[in-house]
Amino acid sequence: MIRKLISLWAKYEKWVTLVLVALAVLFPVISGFNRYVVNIGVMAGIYAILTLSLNMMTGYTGVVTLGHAAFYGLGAYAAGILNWRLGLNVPLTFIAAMVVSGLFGLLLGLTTLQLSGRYLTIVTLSFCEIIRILLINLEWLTRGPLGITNIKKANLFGFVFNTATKNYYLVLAMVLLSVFIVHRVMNSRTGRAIIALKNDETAASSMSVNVFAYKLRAFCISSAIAGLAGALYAHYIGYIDPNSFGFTQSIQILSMGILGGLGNIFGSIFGAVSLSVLPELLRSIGLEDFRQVIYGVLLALLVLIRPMGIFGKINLRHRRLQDSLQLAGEGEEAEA
Amino acid sequence: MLLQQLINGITLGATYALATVGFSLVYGVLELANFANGAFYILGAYFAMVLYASMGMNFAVSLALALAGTGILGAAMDAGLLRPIRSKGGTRTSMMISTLGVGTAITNLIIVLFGSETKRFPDAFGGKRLEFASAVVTYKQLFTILLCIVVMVVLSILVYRTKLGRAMRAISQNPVAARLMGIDTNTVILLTFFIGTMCAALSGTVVSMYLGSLDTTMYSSVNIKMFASAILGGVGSLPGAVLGGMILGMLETFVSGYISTAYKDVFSFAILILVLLFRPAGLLGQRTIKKV
Repeated sequence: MIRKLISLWAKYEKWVTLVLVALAVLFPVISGFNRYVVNIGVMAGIYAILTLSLNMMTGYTGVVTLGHAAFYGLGAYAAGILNWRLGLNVPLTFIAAMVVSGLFGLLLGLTTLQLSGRYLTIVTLSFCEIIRILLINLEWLTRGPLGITNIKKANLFGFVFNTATKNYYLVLAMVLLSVFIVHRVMNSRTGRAIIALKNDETAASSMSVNVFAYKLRAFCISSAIAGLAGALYAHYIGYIDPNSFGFTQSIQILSMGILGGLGNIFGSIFGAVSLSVLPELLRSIGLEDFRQVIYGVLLALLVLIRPMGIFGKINLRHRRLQDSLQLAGEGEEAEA
Repeated sequence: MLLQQLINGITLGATYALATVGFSLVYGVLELANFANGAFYILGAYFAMVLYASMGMNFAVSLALALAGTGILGAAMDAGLLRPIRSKGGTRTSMMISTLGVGTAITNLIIVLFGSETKRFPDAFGGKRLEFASAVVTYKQLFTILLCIVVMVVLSILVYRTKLGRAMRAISQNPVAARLMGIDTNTVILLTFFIGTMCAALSGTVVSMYLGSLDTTMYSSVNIKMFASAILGGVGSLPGAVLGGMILGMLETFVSGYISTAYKDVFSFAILILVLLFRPAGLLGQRTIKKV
């Protein structure tokens, strides 16, 4: 049954994608421009961007990161500070957020990427804590625990994104941009090298793949995309504080990535959307108090049912190839 | 001043060390960062507090009951959630997410049941203290340090001198080979979780009594500190876990005493990263050579 569904999906992959994109575009209309519902959509979109970028770091290069919120926060603060101090707005704040997060990614990667997997995990975790403490204590720059308030809504050459729906389309555009970037990078020479080194680092490096350089590139691009998500968040919510970018958020992003299935773009988006919607769903059926308890239990149960993530280990191209081989085999039998 | 800082540093280090040994035990055997440990740490403390402070039981009895209860929950987590993931060929990351789920559920259940405000934990020694040479040592500090030493000795004997310990070390080296040698790996792992979780509950209770209070916001910071000191000292090494915890505790006390309270954690984490850069396996960890 599931196998058949996957085959169907593999056969009509383009159409499925098109329908899903159309649904995403029409989502505010379907919800009847309900502000609360569209707002959930915006947050789901921001988490989708974060999970996509985490997917690049964890899913493709195999670095399990517990500090992704650091890059998210750096991007948010870069945009927030530039807007608050200099009154800059959208194209510039987005670019600045990506550059700042990307540079910190480069810095962290350059110094620590030579470490092996589990040590890198603790390094990312430490990095996230260091950034959070710095954000709290560098009060002259960040206003410390008070956070930065009154960040202006995104304003693109005079067009103000002042409603939830407008922001939704801005975020959706950025999700599609991130999908495009991750897809392009992963299907390029860099991407093939990265996948090769994830499967077997030793073999890849003996095939003269420069492991370090490729890992570093993926690490940088990934942190830059996380920074973009931060800038979107800062402009949308209008208020940022250091505790929105700590261990809890890092865990949340990682859970979304694992739940959707690592190394899979569709899975990342699915994981992000479902885990963003779930708490709101629990709230709406009157389980407000037990929301986090049920969230935890469901998280544990979902990995129990599918440890690889919901869309992990599903490779549509492979499926298509297998199906076409099977068809060819049946055709020959019929002729004979 | 210096002497007092030293005493406080050792106590803080002892509490970190206590929390870390449980984490490190599981990490050593499965290479799994068990983030439910932070929740068991808080759960153990709440258990003990309810039995001791609210129901008026003897401190030793309530501590024992709290440890046993939490330990059983830890073992149940392994049997019910983690073992099936392992048998389905799930990765360590999947198991880690599972422990995060358990941790979130337990911590928030405590909030639902007890509220999120800080609770007072009474001093079982009635605030008694020793004074000498301008420094003060409270009985609970002594108790914390002594307990740390006792737990260390017991665990060292367990891991390095018993059959169970040998089985644990065998699994950590090579789980498949260990199973082929007739080791009942699932039972050994279950017992490891039982013992590790008890250590978490023990440290949670002792720390809450030392600080005089407990609350659920400790969850993240406990997890981070445990993970950091386990890696700093050396993965899966018991003396390493104690050393890592001690270094972090000392660093924090001295940095906040002499340099800056706000940046104490920045120092700890920066030193952790530096140590890893020069000794990737941690201070007492053994470097494994990667074979093809």
